[in-house]
Amino acid sequence: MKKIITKDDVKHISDLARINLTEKELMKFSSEFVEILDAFRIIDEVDVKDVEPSFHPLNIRNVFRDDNVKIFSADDILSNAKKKEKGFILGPKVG
Amino acid sequence: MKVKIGLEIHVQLNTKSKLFCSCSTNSENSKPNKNICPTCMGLPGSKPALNKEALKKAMRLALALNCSFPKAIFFSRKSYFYPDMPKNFQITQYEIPIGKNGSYQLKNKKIGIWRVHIEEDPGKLIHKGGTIKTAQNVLIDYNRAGIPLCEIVTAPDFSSIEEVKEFLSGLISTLEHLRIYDPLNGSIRSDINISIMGGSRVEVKNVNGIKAVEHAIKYELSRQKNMVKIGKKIKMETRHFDADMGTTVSLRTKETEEDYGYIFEPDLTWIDLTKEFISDIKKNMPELPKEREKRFLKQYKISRSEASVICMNFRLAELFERVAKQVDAKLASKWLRTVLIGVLAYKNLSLRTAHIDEKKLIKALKLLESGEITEKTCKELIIKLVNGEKFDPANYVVEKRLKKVADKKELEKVIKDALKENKKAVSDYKSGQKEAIHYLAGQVMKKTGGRAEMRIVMERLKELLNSI
Amino acid sequence: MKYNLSVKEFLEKRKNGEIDYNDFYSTFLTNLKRKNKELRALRVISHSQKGDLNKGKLYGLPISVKDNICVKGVESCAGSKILEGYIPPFDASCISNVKKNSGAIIGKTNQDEFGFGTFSTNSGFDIPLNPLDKTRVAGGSSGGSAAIVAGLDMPHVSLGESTGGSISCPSAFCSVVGLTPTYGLVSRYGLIDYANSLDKIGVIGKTVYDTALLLSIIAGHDEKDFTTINKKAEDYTNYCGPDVPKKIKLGVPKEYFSDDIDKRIRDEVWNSIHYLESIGIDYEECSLKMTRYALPAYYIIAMAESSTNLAKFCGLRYGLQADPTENFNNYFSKIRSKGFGEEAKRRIILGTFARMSGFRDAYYLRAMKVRTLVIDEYKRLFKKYYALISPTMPIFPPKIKDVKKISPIQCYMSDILTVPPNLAGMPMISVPSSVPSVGIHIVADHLQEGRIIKIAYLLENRC
Repeated sequence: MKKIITKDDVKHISDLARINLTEKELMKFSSEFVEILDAFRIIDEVDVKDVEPSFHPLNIRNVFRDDNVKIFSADDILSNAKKKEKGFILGPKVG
Repeated sequence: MKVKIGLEIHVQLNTKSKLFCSCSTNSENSKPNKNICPTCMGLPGSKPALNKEALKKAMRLALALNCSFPKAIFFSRKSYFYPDMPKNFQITQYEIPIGKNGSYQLKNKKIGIWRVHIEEDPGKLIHKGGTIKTAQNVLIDYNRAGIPLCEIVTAPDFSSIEEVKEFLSGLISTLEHLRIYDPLNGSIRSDINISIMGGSRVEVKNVNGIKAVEHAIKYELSRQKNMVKIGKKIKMETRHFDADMGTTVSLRTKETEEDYGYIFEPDLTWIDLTKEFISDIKKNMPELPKEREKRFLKQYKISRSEASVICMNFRLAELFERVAKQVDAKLASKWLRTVLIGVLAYKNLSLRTAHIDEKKLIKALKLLESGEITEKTCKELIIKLVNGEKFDPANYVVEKRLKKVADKKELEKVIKDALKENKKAVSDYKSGQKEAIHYLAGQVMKKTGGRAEMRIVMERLKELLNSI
Repeated sequence: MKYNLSVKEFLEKRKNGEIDYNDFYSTFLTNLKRKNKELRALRVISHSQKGDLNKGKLYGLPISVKDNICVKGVESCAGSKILEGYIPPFDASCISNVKKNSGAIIGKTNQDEFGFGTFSTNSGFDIPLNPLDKTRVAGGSSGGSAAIVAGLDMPHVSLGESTGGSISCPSAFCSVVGLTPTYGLVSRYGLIDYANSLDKIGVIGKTVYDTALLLSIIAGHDEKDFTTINKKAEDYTNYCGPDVPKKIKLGVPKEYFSDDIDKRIRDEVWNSIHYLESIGIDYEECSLKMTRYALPAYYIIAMAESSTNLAKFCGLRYGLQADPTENFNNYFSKIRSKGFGEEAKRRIILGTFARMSGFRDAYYLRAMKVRTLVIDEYKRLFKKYYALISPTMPIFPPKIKDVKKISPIQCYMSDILTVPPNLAGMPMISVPSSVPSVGIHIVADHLQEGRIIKIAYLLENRC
């Protein structure tokens, strides 16, 4: 496991997460993360050999839905979008 | 030259509702953002609900591709940002696909199928007023968001375009036979991985449809060949296929490499693929193209190559079986497989797109079978049916006096008359100009108003000419 | 003051036709608005959500709702500026149940943004104040709910939400009752997610009865939320009675009484344990060895899940939006950086890190295996013990102005007592002790809400 998380690491991860950090924030976060990850490292002590991960606290399995169509009033949803054009949602370019 | 091609094919499954919500998958509604709900729009607070039918359809495909099933499946979240992604993560199967380690048998080799899995489709983007590179904005339609996709990932076992074509047409036929894909309403999109001579792998993304795959591979292979010829190294990269230009273009190189940060989807549960569940799917498996082929050989006594061609086309196979109930199978096979398909192809149509009156088609074939019309007339009738003309074959034949000259004596007289009246052609033939027989045959056809069976005319002419 | 009634009294009087509802309702709103100016507990007061008052069990009882639970037509922001303006086109399932039973939704309460916090100071809007001492925090992240329940002397209950202790903590700090049910007992459909495998909707009320009543209404299987449990409906108020269960033993986990916990708090909880002993309920010291590992495991899972949940907030479709004039990555980053508070950014980045290739096994997957061990340990103890009893919080509510001096890791550590049962999805209740801002925490096995309600009721009604 990585011992030190550098400012560059934090920058890289924040880019992945689409969050711009100021230089000040970068410095603050990277020093905080050292402390936080250090505290989290304690779980390395636990013997997890042959232990199955739990995705939920209770064992809920085999839940499905039948293939039926239900109509939802689309206008209520679209009213939340501020930028629309001819029924499309207007978004930022990708090129 | 060593060519390595691998495919990642995304097939839209033909369920009535989307993968994780009850919105309709019907693409007939062309207005944007109509088939939407909180879940497929990723509204905060919404939760996914798994469509059982989608899972069953994917399992059918996994079985047809000889994949092995895991004991239980759990969905994953694949995180990346794009305007067509309502949640900026896609619910997919990363760690545990519904099927893996399968295969597909081509005529001459086996193609490895690495995995088959289910995931949700994102929405659709229109690049407003330009191309993907020049548009200033995107227009987003989420009707498609949440439609179930079945992704098939092959091993890079293809070494030619022909193999890819063979695979894709076989796959389409399989999908339709499985009743999990509707070509009118569903799409097939592929990502293609190509490398030549052991060089870097290039990925061509989001190629829409089957023909486009062919074009994209053709272009990319020649592009790579040319690069090598002029001594340039092929970069490992992702390219986009421009369908209008028929070229592949380099996508803008990303500053940061995408890390999808997979976690398990905590809003859904484990699904156990029990013995009972799987055997229920197996029990209800529709007949696959290769099985159908084998049955056709036995049941209809047509040749292997005929059966193979018919079964490659789901609608054709269905039509053939219905027709063969009423008309001789061999006749049906010839006329549907070559004539009907030929006429359709000439008019740029297919069985899918043309609306042929099946009852009338059968009537026409019956008239041929009973000897009442010639092959030429039958073809004429078929052309009219393909054109969508409203008429009754039997009445038409009577009206236009197209009944075949079946009477042997009558035909014999006409043939002999033709020989008498065209002495020059006869002597031309006897002196070695064999094509003169066609002129004579033409004269016979004129006299009978086209109602003589050409084959029989030619045979008899030959006999008579040779005995002169 | 007119209408200074308990919920039980209010329902009785309404059933008997003794209350003019319109008069009650307008009095309620007047008082609510006045109190809210003082406490800043609600971000928005909405008074159009009454529904048919003659159906169901609530007879128009006013219910406030934590901001992260969607109410149709009412701006729901989960305490975050990035959702400012979002009007859900649907009710959360628990809200439908409340409305079906003629509860009157009266507003959305302030909270830490998306649930990220222990003091509600990470709110993108107002910070709710503790009615017991308005210089101090109300706790978090359901601080607004606890504050208004504690501060308003009229019949009213609040729906809160807990991921790592966000119902228990503010209930303890504001000296009210907070009930967190078993994971999956109440539908999360319509809850703006923090961490999907950890979130639970619960109830904050002045008395144990109030919380039991509302739980009965919101609990139940929901086909829209695949993680809900198939359980027969139950009237939890049946457990609100003076009868003492015989031959049971409470477990007292020694890790929850360590020196890290304020001595005054420990002493007060011991008083309660001895009181229960005096009425015939034995106790025994036990050990929850996994306690120290539960906290990091919780945070890793919670942050990993929430970093994916918050990816959808990018200035498209709803909430905070701008003119999309630039490339999508720049547009997304700008809006997200503007709309998220500091703690949200911190958790998104840490959560993204915990699931990146190369770290995923060591953090995310390992944390889920630790969860298994935490649950197993609880299950072993619950074979022996009726329930576990401990303090709810290790500290008294800090002063609001001092919160900025607390480092993130210290904040996380203050959840040490509530996180383990939350990680394990166990039902729990925090009930006030006789010392202000000291709560007693009762935890039982999955689906044993009856037990925690019973013990809490007995403590609440100690003579």
